[in-house]
Amino acid sequence: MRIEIKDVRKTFSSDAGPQVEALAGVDLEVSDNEFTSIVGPSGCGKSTLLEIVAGLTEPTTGEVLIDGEPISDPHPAVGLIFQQESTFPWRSVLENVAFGLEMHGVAKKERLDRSRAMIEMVGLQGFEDRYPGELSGGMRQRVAIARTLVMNPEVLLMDEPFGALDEQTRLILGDELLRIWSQTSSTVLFITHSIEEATLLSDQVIVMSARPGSIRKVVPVNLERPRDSSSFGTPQFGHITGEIWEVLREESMKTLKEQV
Amino acid sequence: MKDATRVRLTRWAIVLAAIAALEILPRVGLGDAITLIPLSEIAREFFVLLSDGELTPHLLATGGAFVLSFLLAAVTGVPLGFLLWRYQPLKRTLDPYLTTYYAIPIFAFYPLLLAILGFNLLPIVAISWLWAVVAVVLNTAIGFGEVPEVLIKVGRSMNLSRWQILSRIFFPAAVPHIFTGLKLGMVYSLIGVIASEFVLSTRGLGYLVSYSYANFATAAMYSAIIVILVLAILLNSALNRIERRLYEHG
Repeated sequence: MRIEIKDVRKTFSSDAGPQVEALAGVDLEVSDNEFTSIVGPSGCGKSTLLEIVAGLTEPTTGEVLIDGEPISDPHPAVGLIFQQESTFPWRSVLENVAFGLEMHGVAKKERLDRSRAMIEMVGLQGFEDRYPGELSGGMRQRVAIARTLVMNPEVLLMDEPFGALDEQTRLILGDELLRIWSQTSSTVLFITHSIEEATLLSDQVIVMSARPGSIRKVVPVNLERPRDSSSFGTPQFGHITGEIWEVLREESMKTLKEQV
Repeated sequence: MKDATRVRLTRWAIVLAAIAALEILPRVGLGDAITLIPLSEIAREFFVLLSDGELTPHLLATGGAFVLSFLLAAVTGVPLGFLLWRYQPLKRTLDPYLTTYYAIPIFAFYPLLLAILGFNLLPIVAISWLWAVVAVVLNTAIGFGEVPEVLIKVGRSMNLSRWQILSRIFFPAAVPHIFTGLKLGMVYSLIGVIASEFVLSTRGLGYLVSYSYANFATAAMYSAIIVILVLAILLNSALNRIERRLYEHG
């Protein structure tokens, strides 16, 4: 599925305090089956942008089209994964993964079969009957990913899904995400603050400006696939991350100065 | 020896020591015969009261009033807590009253309630409910307030209906706090019942304690106290067990 973001602007206003302009006109196209990452200084509005694409937040002006259709509510073929802890502690791993299917009335046998297959895909076989409280942060995030993937989303929106995890776990989950993505074929919009992660995973990396957010640069990543974290040391990899950092550094400095 | 074993043994040792002290101290002449009597005599009196059927009406009276006031506190407290969370202006308005609520010695109103509601079960249930319900309301409101927003977003991103989000995400996520409120409410309504029976009543375990005390029936008084203790412990462990079943796994 194709995502088109057309001149999306977002201004937050509250009763107290001045209006905050979060997004100042974002235009972006993501083609079918393309993996796109967004990096940007903190507070640049990238999470807001993702929520607008997800249909959770309305843009102030502009629109988002999915396969040419403008969205207002969450699109059924769009799956969302969050950075924060989002598993349901009162449900077992299996019940967590089966949640969406259960809510949409998928018959018990089918939903359990599909959930079990997905649990295996994210490497949690044997933990079906455990509860999130008994798992590590990385395992819980796998549960959340499986819970979204089991719905067979054609568009996958991920908001720093590995942001709360340690470096080794991030790398391993990143490799697994690539493997899963190659098997499922979906359009991915991925937010991260890690340049390496963005480069490793993506077909193109979008660098956003300091707030109010807009697109500063689109960096195509033409490294050969399949990739995994072992491509880190290669010269092409270093060249691309360097190119991203050059722009991102400038924008991050602006944010830092503003804070001072 | 493992730490856990040592802890458990020490706990039992404390119980046994207390029992031994209660048995021996009165026998060696510490405390006069009216205020402190050996545990074995209390036990004998307890079984007499039990087999005579003298304890039963008191137990039923206390039990009935407790069950009524606790259930009332639960079925009114949880919806009120929800309303309080849902309508923030309401919460802001009532906040000073709610936070100072337990500073009011509400039992002072008991005689007044007796005059208004009559000399029966009603004032006891009313005061126990009043004493218990605010704990349920406050904890329920906190529970709903602390449901992480991201869980709601999960539901919205899956296109769930409002009702599905409320019943399948929102309520289960608030259960631990609601349960804390119910546990407090249970203890408070038991205290409410016993205390009001103590002050003015013709039946109930609280009445039995106060009546026996006034009539120098020390063994009967202690029997009633022990029944109250056992009742409180049983109720608490029952609720803990339900909570574990419902929520804590592994």
